[in-house]
Amino acid sequence: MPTEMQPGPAALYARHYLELVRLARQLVDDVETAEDVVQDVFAALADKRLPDDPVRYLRRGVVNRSRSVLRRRRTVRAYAHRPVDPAGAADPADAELLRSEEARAVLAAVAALPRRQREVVVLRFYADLSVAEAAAVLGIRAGAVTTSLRRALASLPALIERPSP
Amino acid sequence: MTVELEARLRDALRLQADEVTLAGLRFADGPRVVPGRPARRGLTWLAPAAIAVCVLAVAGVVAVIAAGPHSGRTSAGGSGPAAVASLAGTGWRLDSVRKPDGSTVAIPARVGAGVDFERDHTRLGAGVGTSFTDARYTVTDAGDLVVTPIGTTGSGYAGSDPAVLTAVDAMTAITYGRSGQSSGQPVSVDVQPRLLRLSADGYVLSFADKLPLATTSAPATGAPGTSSPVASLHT
Repeated sequence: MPTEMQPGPAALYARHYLELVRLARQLVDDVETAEDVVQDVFAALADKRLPDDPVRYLRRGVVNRSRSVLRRRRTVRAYAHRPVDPAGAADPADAELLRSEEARAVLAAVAALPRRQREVVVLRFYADLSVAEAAAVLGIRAGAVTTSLRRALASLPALIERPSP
Repeated sequence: MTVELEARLRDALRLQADEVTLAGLRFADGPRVVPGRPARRGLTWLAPAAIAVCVLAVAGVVAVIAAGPHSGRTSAGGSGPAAVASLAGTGWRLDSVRKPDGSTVAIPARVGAGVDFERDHTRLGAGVGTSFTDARYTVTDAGDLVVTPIGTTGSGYAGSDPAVLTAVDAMTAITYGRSGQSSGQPVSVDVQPRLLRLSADGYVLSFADKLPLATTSAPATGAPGTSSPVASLHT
């Protein structure tokens, strides 16, 4: 809202920290990394003048930083000789029990999507952003979001049904 | 069909999100304070300085190319903050290590040891095989690095290959210090066009320009991993 006083970094942290960690958790493999991602985003924010739409800025930062983390880990995983279960890595055992097999299969399928498609799926179906909002967060055109979404929805059923290796 | 799939996606993602609670977070009460982090607010000269460094680096590369293949080592690089700044966005393969006892150990490419400097001038990744440390760094006025590890993707090594063991010790020296504790001791830096030397805790690590993947040697039989964790970071 243009007339509303903009919250400062501390208020943004108090209001949005959990939400942003949850968003990051959808994009990386574990909660600890998700927290690190959000910490980095807030650390960067502290050095800058607050943008006009700080929440969108923070979300965008979370997506970008998560991308960077995954890029770095991709190589490690490639040579680790043990597949990481993206849906369950580093989660507490009780959380594992709570998560149904169905959800695990879906989350593993989402994690197996190409990076852009995964981001679009998370922003649309977890963050409930519109196509335009998702495009703004990702810094791409709305058409690209729609295309990625369509491809993701086309490939997900097969990924969900695919038996675990 | 799509509606059903969307519902499944929403349910699964929500379930995963709900497992993250404030009670389980480390920094729910306030942001993490990173010791030694430079206050960038006052460094408004940094962007133009970085641009100037980039321009000089490009000019240096052009001069090296123009002067021929044997002039590289004397035409650019060195130490100091500007030299360290030039490392951003580069990746290096560990080539040899001079140990505190004075002996030098060659590190073959199969060991997969290397260091990558992120483009943001604040982070680096150092790895041996599948063991990888993500770290922040700051640069002192003298041009030394002060490295603060953020996390490690640990992978134990039970073998006895001296090259691997030396690489692990040397990389640990620059990230965590020889004691294994993050002591924040300075790591001195010497940058040459195709050579990087990092010195810390009695170790001198010599890095060569990262090799293209196609030219790396066959996988090791005793290394903790079969290729460099940094090898594809820039791919």
